[in-house]
Amino acid sequence: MEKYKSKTLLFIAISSISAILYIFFIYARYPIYYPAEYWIPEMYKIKIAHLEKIEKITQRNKIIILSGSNALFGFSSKIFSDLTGYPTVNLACHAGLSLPFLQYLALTYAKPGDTVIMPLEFSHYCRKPYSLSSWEKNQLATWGKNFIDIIFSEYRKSIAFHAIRQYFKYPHYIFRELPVRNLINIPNRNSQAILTLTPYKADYANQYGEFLIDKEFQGVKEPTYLNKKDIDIDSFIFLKNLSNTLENNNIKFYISWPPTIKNYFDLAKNDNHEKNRFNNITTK
Amino acid sequence: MVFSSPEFLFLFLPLVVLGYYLLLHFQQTRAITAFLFAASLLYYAYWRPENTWLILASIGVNYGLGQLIAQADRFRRTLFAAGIALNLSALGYYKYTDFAISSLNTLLHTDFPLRGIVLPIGISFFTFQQIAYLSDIYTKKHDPAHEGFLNYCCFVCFFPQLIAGPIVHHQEMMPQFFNSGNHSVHWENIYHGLLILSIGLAKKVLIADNLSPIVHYCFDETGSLTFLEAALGSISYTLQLYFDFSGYSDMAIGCALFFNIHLPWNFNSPYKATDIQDFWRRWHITLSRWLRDYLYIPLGGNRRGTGRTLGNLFVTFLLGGLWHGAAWTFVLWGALHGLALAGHRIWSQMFRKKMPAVPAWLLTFAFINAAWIVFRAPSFERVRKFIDAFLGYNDFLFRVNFRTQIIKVTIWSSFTQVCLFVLACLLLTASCNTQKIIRMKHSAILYIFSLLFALCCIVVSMPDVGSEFIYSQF
Repeated sequence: MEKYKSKTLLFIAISSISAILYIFFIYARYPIYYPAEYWIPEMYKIKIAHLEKIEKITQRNKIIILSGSNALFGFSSKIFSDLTGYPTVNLACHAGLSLPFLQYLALTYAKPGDTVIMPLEFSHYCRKPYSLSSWEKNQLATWGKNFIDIIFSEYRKSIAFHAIRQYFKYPHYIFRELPVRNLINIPNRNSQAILTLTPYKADYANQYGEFLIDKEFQGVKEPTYLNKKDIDIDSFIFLKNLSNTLENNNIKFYISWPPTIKNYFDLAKNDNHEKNRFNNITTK
Repeated sequence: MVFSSPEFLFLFLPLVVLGYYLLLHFQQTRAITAFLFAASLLYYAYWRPENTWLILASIGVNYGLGQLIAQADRFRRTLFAAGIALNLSALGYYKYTDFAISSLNTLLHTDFPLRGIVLPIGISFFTFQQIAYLSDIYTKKHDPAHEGFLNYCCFVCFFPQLIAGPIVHHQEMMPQFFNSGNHSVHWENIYHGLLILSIGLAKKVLIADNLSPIVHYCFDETGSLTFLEAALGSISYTLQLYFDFSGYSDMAIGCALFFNIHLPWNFNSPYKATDIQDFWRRWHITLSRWLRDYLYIPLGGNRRGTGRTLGNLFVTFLLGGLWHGAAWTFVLWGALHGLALAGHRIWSQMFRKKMPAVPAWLLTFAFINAAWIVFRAPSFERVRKFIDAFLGYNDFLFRVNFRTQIIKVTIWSSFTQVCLFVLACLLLTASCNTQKIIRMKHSAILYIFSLLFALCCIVVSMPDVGSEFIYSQF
């Protein structure tokens, strides 16, 4: 009987200690490297470097652009800056990074007197802000440490466990360092990007962290969103709360109407069906 | 609150175990049965509180009828028939009403609306247990005079076996509740309980849940399948079902041991079987036992000639298939097994010699694997896709798209790893089982399973992780 008593206590002790050690080991190694889209933090290094440069040079209020790839491609912060007279920083990157991430950028980098503009994609309005996709968890668990440090606890737990799950898939990556390159001072960086089939590489960005395309897109055109997704009212509530927070800090906030169809204002495309769908949704 | 959920492992089970041992410590042995009954009722109510009245009514009616049957001189048969009818009516209403309506609509091209009846969890199991109870009282194999209502309640409701078995027999369960020898701390039981619980948890969380995405993709998502894709999908399900169900049974047995209650083993390396009869002596042993004692034998068993024996076998397994679920695929699965058993009986009588072990095992495993396809398939259309694949109507090798999708939905980073994992699981079924592991004296067993237990606890704590036990839906 004593034999079984000691075996039982030993079992419980080993289980408890190993569980604690395992969690501690994960936490100590955080952030963890495993396959993710590292061009995104590389892009943000370039963008933040540009922002810090502006803040050093001038005390003027600045404009911050936040959105997804729609603003990453073809939105020239230099032209916007010249037109408005205000220094402009384009912090848009990937629409897979949800509204809470954009909020984090706004609250971290916008100062009183600044203006935040969000020309959001349609998909930003179709997702619940508090429901992170597994793609986003994947990114944040590996390179999003700063973001995670300030977000809600329920996100933190979800992302942390996602990181643990990834360990099972990529155990051989556990001791490697994050492969985020510092591409701020790439020599001969073009002010215009070269569009390739895989343009999502920080090497192709201009010195402001944008991909400026001056060639006609030859790839596959995306279908309209209208018949595929429904707007989630929680996204509007989230943006309203963000607006209140920013305005309380004397930061102006603007959102623009999202693109709902591919190139609506392209006069070469005369699709009444698409235009009617657009009109229907604007009247709702 | 499945066994592999954090609220069960870290809250409910520890609290109930603590309460049990506190009662033992303060020598409140009379309160123990009531405490276990209350905890079990709470466990049942957690699933769906509005169904609690059903299990209470079932207990009350069956216990009352049992007492009446035991004491009655006249009307014993009437009371017994009424008991069986009431039990089967309740089961039939909740489980088969919508099935009957949809079948009628298909047959007669009508459009009667479905009732949308929600199946109360565990009804198939506690109904069968109580039918066995009434049957034994009627045939005078059991005298309910001194067992007490509370012991009966505990026998039906005992939470480790309430939701998905094992289907316990009243004569093996009830005496344990009022056995005073069980009302003390048995460290051997606690240790074995922990060991068996960790084995079951590992089977479910580390193996079955990781096979599930492959199965889901092959059976529910993808269109056509090639030969190897169908093979991977079917073998993955064969393994998933075994590890899921035997894992659950192990967890039930382990949990019961914490309370000094011994539940019967439900599996004994079923995929090692060399014939179909052997398979049913190793798979869901308690269900086979019930079907033999309360369906096959009352139908006449093998005492009425060969033809009747074969018919009895077929009907027993046809109804056994229907018991598993309200769908024609389950009926077909049961029929296939009934036919296989009948075929095995004919073979045994015609050819006295046994088949060599390897071809016998291959044939048995191939049949079981094929039958599980029917069991799992959401429709006959899906069964046909598997048949097409195995008959070679599509390609043979794995397609690129299939391999990519499988990697996406699983935790593995290459398709080779997926295949090796499935192969490893297959080999695991051929190695030792839970009964053999706990008999091993080697101290490495303690270390291996305590570490595995810790790992499983971390995995079950993760959000978005966790799935139902397959047999809880029956």
